[in-house]
Amino acid sequence: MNVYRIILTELQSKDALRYLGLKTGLADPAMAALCETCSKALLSAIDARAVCRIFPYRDGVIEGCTYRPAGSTIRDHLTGCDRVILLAATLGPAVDTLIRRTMLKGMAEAMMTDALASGAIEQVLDLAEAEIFAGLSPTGHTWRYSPGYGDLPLDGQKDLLEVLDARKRIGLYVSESLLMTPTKSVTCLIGLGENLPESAKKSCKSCTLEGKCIFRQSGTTCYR
Amino acid sequence: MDIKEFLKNEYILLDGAMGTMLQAKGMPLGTIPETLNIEKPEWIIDVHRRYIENGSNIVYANTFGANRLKMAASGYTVAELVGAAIKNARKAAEGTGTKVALDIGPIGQLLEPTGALSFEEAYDIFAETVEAGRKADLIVIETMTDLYETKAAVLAAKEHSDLPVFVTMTFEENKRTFTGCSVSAMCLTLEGLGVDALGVNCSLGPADLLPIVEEIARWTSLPIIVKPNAGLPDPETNTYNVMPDEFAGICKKMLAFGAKIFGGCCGTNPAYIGKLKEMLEEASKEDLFRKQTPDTTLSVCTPLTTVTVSEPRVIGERINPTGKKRFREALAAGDMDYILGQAFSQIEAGADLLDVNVGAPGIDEKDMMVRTVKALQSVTDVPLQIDSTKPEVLEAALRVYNGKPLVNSVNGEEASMQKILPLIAKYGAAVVCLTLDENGIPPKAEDRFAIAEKIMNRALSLGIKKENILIDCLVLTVSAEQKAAMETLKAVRMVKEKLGLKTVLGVSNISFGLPNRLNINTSFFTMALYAGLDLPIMNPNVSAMMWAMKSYKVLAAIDENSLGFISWSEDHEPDDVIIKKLKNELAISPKETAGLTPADVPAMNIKEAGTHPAGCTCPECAGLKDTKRMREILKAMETGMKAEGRRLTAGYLADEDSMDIINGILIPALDVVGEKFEKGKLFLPQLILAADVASECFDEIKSRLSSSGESSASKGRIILATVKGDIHDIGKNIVKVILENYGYEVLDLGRDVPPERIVETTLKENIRLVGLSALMTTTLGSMEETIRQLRAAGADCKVMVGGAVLTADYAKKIGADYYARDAKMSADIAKEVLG
Ligand code: B12
Ligand SMILES: [Zn+2]
Ligand SMILES: [Zn+2]
Repeated sequence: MNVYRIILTELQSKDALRYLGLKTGLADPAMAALCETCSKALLSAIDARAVCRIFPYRDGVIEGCTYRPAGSTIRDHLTGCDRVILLAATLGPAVDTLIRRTMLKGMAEAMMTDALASGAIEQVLDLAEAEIFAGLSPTGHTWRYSPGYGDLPLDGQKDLLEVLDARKRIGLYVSESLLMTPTKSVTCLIGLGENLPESAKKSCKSCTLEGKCIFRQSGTTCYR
Repeated sequence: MDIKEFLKNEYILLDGAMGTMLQAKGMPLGTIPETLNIEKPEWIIDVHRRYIENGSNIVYANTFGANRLKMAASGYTVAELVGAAIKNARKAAEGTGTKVALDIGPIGQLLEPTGALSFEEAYDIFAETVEAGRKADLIVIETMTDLYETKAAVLAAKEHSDLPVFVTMTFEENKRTFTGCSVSAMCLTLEGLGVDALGVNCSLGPADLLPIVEEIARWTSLPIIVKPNAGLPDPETNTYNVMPDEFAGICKKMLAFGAKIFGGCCGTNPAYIGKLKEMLEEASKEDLFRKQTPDTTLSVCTPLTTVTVSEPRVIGERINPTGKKRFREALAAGDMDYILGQAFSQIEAGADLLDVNVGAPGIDEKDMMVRTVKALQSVTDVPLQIDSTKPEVLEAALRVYNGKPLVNSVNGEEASMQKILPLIAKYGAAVVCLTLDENGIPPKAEDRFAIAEKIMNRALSLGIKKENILIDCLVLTVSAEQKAAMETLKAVRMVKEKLGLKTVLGVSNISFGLPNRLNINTSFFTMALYAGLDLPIMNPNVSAMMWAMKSYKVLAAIDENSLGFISWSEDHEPDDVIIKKLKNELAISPKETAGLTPADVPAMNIKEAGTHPAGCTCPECAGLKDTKRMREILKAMETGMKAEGRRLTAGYLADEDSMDIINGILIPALDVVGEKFEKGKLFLPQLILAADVASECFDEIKSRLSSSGESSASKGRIILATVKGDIHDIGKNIVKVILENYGYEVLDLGRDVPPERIVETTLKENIRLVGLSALMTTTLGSMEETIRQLRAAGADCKVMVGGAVLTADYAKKIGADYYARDAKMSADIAKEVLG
């Protein structure tokens, strides 16, 4: 079990602007100013942590692990892998408080902050992932696959977080209705192995939203 | 020997980890450890025995997770598991004199405001466990990270048993828990609630806990508990890296800080306890135990912020309906946003604490107080002063307050002291004592002093600490009673010097009935500070008052090297500069700006410079003014200038009817924004920005309407909610903005909203259009359920649904009336349904 404290020094606004549908980027001065103030407040509220565990993976089973991912999409995702990383990350509770506070100050600030935070958790995952990989002997890996994607059921969240002891290690809870709190949190699985197939790269294939995704309809994707 | 006696011992030795030991015995992965109390009692008894053999004076029964939420899947009741656990521990302790603790860990669900579990539910859950464990010798609450949850547990323990209570929380290297709770907040709050010992357990090894224990010693005089992990676990093997000898060696260093109760958490075993025993015996011979001497200056706190009254601090007075019509209306309408707005502006202006008074005719004050306190602590970290004359209101607020508050107030009347002081003692607050009694306010300082002394003695006799007693010597209006001002100040000085208590005054009362009130206020304020005032209750938004405070701190050599004053000067303009600017900008006479404070600026009327009189209706003016005004507002909207929007609107209100402003200026401007949005010239965030400006404008009009008694009109009201189980609310929020832009009033129920709440609100508020959002396939079920319940309850409303996973077909299948592919469609639907 490994716990990481992730320090973000700068927020990338690209994801946020994509969620908000701002196609012109930060060309508009009012938007640039808003983004700047929100980023600053958000950076000081973020206290990001991640926890991971690595298990051997054989014949579709994560060995020695009480979390058993069900469904066919995760099986496909992990094709050719010999180990699996379980990873959970959170931006911490102060971000939720900040978003609640900005809600009262105005919707523009609140939504910008919210969208920036949603982008920030991706940044945190990128950094956590990089740290994890750095500690391993070089090998191939899949993209991050989360409960709730494809037919990987969300109700595995409890077991997954239990295995990671996430409440104690990083202060991450899961509610009766399977939501994680703090809200800006993500759980995922990453497969490790040599010579992984093409499908190990991120794509919209097998996404639940195939055919309805508003990002696809406007010619982009919901990921980078 | 009972535990309170036991606590007088030089030291107490606790036990080590239970989980680690059970795993070593072969507990299968995924087992609920508490079930072993019944299924493998011999294992549990054996673990306890080995700790007792190694010297434990107290063993923790195997009840850490024994609460009804965590045990729901265990197949046993809490009573069965706790009963068996205590029996096992007793069996192991038989004949040894070892005490048995009921061990209570976190519930495993996050409390409000971040989580969904309410404070009251948490209390209930703990109470059940406490009731089940009454046969224990003491209660240990441990591994807590949330101060609020800890408070619920302590209250449950104290109100459902007579057992002593030990509490340990879990801190990270930054001396905060995951939820941000500081060491000082833990100590102030828990000592106030009357726990018997407190400290820290888990998460870190002993070396990393050293600075935390040192910090604890600064904030409490209670016995300090330390139960570290055996260092950090190895990521591959999961074994811990600090060995028993080293472990005990580092713990020994903590004796100097006053730690006297030791044990081990994760990764420890009987060998660690054995070594601790050796260490403690040695320390006893070497006489290494020390009692800590914490600072006794008054401090109040929230989990994140501790305010120590080591110098004058400002209590913001604005959350109070007295004499404020707009505030009373907000109360009546339950408009929490307005109240929170008052909080933010005071905090931004420099308030250190906020007074909270929500008593007004026709308001259920208790309910409102609880809601206000909860709402405030969900968005601000500033400590509160709970202000009411009613004991039941104070008690309700004291229960749900997260931290250590100040209470306003008790007075020298027998009835007041009898009812209020015990509450202060029970909840560990600080209290403001008013120097009046059955005979009113004595004119003479000496008599006020006597009342102060009387209340103080009564409070002390109830065990209230001296630093938690504050005196308000009461300010009277100087225009009515000119000599009274000096009497008040004399009393302040006497209280400070002879009783050594902190003082409070509501300073702005002094100037009622006089012109130029601000000048009187600032002068009196400075005099009061000099006489020994610690906590002025005042309006921090009046910048002259804040300047007086900052200046005083320089002159009294509190503000070292004037650094505070200099940095304040960098972000604040002195009053005369602001007023001068104002005069130029407004082109109004000096007479009109006399007595003006910068806080008044937004509300000032702007005079149109023109040849036609204000309100002129000639065609030229009508056309001109509208487009000019519309363009002004439009510019403010497009550039996101909220203050400007408000200022402009205030100006228009001087000569235009509010409905004309809405229909003739604001709506046309919003139309332009909307049109640009539809044409793709403006994007959503810009639209939102514009909407924020518009809402400032509407709010300005609303505050005017409420003071003139007119009522406002919207096009109709719509509920929006992200359904139960879903947190993805960006889309729902966008819909909200669009609808508001089109003049609808939106009741935003938030995210993860249970169907019952939606149904209840729909019926209660008589809503005709409900919008639901869901972004996950898993939450489509709750969307369907919500619609089903709405129909079953016979709600006379249409339902529109949206969210990325939905399709028109699916929407129809689950019984929705409308499906919206994007947010813009919501406005068309609203128009169709509500007109
Ligand atoms: C941003 C995001 C997040 C953010 C949430 C931020 C927030 N406050 O909402 C974060 C990073 C926190 C997050 C976390 C998770 N997410 Co997510 N997330 C997304 C993402 C990338 C974008 C969603 C978004 O904001 N879109 C932009 C908005 C504007 O679009 P929209 O909501 O569809 O709304 C528009 C219309 O639909 C319509 N509309 C919407 N509602 C309504 C309502 C009415 C009444 C009307 C009229 C119109 C209307 O109007 C809007 C504007 O035009 C989507 C991917 C996607 N392609 O959608 C995944 C996605 C929704 N997430 C998903 C999952 C699984 C999760 C997690 C459970 C993953 C995990 N295991 O950790 C977690 C849960 C976290 C928790 N706390 O429990 C999955 C859901 C899959 C499924 N089963 O359907 C998705 C689809 C990703 C995927 N490709 O699989 N997520
Ligand atoms: Zn997609
Ligand atoms: Zn532990």
